Amino acid sequence: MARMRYRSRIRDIMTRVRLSENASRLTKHDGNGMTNEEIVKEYRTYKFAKAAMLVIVLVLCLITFGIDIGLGPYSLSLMEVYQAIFDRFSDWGQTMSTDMKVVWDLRMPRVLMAFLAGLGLSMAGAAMQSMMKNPLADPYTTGISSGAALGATLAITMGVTIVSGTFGVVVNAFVAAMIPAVFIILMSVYRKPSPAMIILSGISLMYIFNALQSYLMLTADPNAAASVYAWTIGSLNSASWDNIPFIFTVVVLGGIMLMLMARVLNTMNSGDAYSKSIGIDVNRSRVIILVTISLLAAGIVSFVGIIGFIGLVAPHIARMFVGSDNKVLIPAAGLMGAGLMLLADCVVQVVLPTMPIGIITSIIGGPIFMILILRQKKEVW
Amino acid sequence: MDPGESKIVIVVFAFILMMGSVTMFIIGSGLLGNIDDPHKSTYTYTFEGMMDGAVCTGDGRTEYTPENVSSHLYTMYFTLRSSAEEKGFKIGLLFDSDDMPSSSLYEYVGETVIGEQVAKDWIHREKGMTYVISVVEHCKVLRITINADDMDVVGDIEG
Repeated sequence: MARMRYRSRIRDIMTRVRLSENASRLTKHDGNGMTNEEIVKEYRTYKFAKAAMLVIVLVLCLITFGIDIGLGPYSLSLMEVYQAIFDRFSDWGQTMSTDMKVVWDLRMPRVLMAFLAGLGLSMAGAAMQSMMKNPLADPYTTGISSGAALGATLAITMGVTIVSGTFGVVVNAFVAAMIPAVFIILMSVYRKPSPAMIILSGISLMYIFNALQSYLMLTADPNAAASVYAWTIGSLNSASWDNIPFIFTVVVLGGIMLMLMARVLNTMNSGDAYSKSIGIDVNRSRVIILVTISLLAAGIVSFVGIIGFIGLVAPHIARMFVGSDNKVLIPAAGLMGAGLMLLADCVVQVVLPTMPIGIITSIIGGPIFMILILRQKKEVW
Repeated sequence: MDPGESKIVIVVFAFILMMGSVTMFIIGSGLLGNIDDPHKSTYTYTFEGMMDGAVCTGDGRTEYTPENVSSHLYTMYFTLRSSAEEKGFKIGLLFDSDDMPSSSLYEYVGETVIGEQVAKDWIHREKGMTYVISVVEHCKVLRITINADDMDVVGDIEG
């Protein structure tokens, strides 16, 4: 008995020694034999790579921005474009030259609109995919874009507008885009649907809106139908300096709001139960994020029409480079989307300037999206 | 549904969305094809005058692309030939949505009768050159006069 007690005592001491040794080893090494300094260094390299990626995409966006402005039958080189911009800023009151007028008044609003629309739609898409844990989630597939299209169609074909004047179509589109958004929000609050159910409901709404829109187009006169078509297919041709402040404000405020919610989105990725266990009000957070995304998307779509696949593709490409941390993913997806939109606009200007940009984003973005999904190994969105 | 199956569903759905956009474009193109935009017309010009002290002749054309709904940008390409040289030029002609030359670039100077049409004359100075364009409806330029130290040419619309 004494011998057994003695053995048990020895075992206890040995266990304590081993635990103590392990603890001291853990402060210096991880499981792969890395020291603390090495782990910190690797983490810093990882963070630097992410920051470098954001900077590279931003620089590429600026270059593409200049190239895009220069493209067209009245072509200008990258240097001529930036010279015209520089001249304009250096002497604001001067009489404009033709180059300056083309750069500043004709093309700059369109290209800025492409940049802002890509930025906003992709940030909204990234946040939506993270929140719903669904690769198909974006303003396009949740019916928000189709709602906006129906609102615009009502204004153009039947003259039914909430406000009169220049912004009649835009306000109609904005209000109608909020219908599916409010539907999704109400459903989230009262029915607690799964993310997949939200997407499927959005798709159903999208088809209902599309059917109504097609009917209105068929019964309208050819000129009105053509106007609806030009609007719904996604076009940047109506961009002007009057629209830019509004869309800029929407994108900046929406972006700031999503960045503030990025930490919550990261936690929600680990599941509702875990989020609740650390004190996050999941339903309230979901409503806040959905309202932000809806306002962001509706604000953009009401000016540029339906531009599909940018909000789907850009977050997937960005995720390949920066991972799923929403604090980095949201700005990275935004910049990636802005770059893709500028590239798509370049393609439009080179190939067929009369083609709406929404067609190019679908034709190019669709196959890219399919390839990304098929090659994706992880199930993290 | 296993991950492989769900991927296929996503891909099929994306394909349907893509085809929807393309179908919409084809239908829309049909609709727009029935509507004539008078701005889209391309015109050709014949030039004559003096270049670098020598008599010259030339030809040119305008090209239009609907870049923006609030303005119309035409690019005029023309080539001038004298016994000594041949030079190619490209100038931009910018019109507002009211089909008149952009008021921030051009100044209205009066009217001219060309053939049987009354055209509005607009003047613009840039980089040492003076342009006078005679315009009728739908941004149609009947005549362009270009003056500079080494150039004095007039281009008239053909036909």
